[in-house]
Amino acid sequence: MSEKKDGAFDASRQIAALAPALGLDITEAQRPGVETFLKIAHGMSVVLERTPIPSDELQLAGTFRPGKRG
Amino acid sequence: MRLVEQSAAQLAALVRDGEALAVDIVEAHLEEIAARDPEINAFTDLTADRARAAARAIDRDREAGRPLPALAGVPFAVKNLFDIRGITTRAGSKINRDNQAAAADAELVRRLEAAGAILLGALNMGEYAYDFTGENEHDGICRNPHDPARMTGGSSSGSGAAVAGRMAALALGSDTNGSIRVPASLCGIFGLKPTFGRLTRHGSFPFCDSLDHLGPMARTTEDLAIAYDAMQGPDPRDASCTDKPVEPSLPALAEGVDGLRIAIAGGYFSTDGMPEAAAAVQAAATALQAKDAVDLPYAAEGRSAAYIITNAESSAFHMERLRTRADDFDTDTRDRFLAGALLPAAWYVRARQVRQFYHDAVMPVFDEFDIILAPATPCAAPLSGQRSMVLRGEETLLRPNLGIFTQPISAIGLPVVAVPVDCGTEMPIGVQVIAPPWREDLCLRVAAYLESEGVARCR
Repeated sequence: MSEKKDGAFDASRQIAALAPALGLDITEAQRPGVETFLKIAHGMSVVLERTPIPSDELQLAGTFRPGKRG
Repeated sequence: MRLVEQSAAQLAALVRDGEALAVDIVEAHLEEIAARDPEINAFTDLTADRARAAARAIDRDREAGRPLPALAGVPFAVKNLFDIRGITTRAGSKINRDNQAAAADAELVRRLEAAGAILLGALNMGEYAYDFTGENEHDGICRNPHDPARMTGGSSSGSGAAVAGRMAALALGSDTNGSIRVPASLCGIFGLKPTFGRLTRHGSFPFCDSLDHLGPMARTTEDLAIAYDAMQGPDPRDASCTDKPVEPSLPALAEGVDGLRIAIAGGYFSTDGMPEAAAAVQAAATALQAKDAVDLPYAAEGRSAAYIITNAESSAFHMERLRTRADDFDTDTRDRFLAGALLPAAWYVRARQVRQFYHDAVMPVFDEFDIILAPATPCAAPLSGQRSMVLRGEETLLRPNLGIFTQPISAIGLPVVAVPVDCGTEMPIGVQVIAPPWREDLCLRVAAYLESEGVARCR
């Protein structure tokens, strides 16, 4: 989602697609900051995607209990 | 003897032994607040009448020969996301000021008062706890008592400043990604972020349910231990709160570090290019004769997971406020919350998945080591208003990165004591003393040892 054809993340497209669906009005004053933080979050998501978790596992630590291995 | 310079344990002993009245201790702290806080701006609300009444009751108990609890006569204050009966819980925001006053105290406030501590008021904080700097548009910048031109760190900014500035012997803060440990490091005090689930959060305003922790901040390890022990115990009103019985940390506090296997976190936690953080870690490691370096596998991934979980959960929590009152948010938190509202669900689910994966990868490290040392912050207190910092040679945003070393630890709920290390830096800086889940006692023992050796010290 919100990726340009060259694969780069496009924060403005993400805002355009999702903000109206959520009833959020992102003003021009807010937009540069929101784009900056969306890009940071996208960078984090890339790190998460490359984590070597087997594709057939889904453990989300529902109520998180430190010390109990999932 | 200046009463405000005494530790919580010392104040309680003075009251118990009849060498000081609780009312005099409270007045001394209120006078210190009146003198210092116009510049520091740690307090947002004072509960002076309540404090005086509580002090009189303690003095009456002493006079009548009734036994006094562990913190009798000790003044404390709380980050203003803790409910205080009769005061609106603002959580650093403008928006919450429209809410009704809290009908009851937060459970940890109640437990500290049951232990004899005396509430002085509520403390400044970053808006909705989404902050590492101590800056707040609505309540004003909270200033570092060691140099008012510099940041306290956040988001428990007032908690750090009130304790470092001798305006309270103890404070409570919250820590989702580092909000106790960052201000503890920058203000040069001790802070305990317990294991996730150890202390009840009932009666506190949430930030991110999956990662929120509450804990004490103080000028000595002993004070941390006394306060922590007084606050433990189950609470069915917080789904994440453990059912474990109270596990007192104070009895073993002075047992030293013999037999403990202590390592220094490497890799992600490298302090290359961060001379202040490097000096702090080195000083602590030398005192503890810790020579082994250990990698916490997937720390960067864990940090990313914490970032996304925080951003997504907190923004969803504030969604209606973002829809209707976005411009009433602090500018510095508003855009992060708005961005968090726009994250794909798949990123959030992946973050939750990675959190568990990272936890499972880190746990075996504790088969080899009992304690891990890591920097608390990449640097000592930056100047207020500073927007960027150089991190490993790269110019980067300051706000998200002051917590770069704390975030991967809270991501998996490990207990940590932030310890102020005397290492020759102009401004204070701390290290993290990290233990396996539910071993706060080990963190506190190591911190107490560093203090006894003169390596850790509150300025």
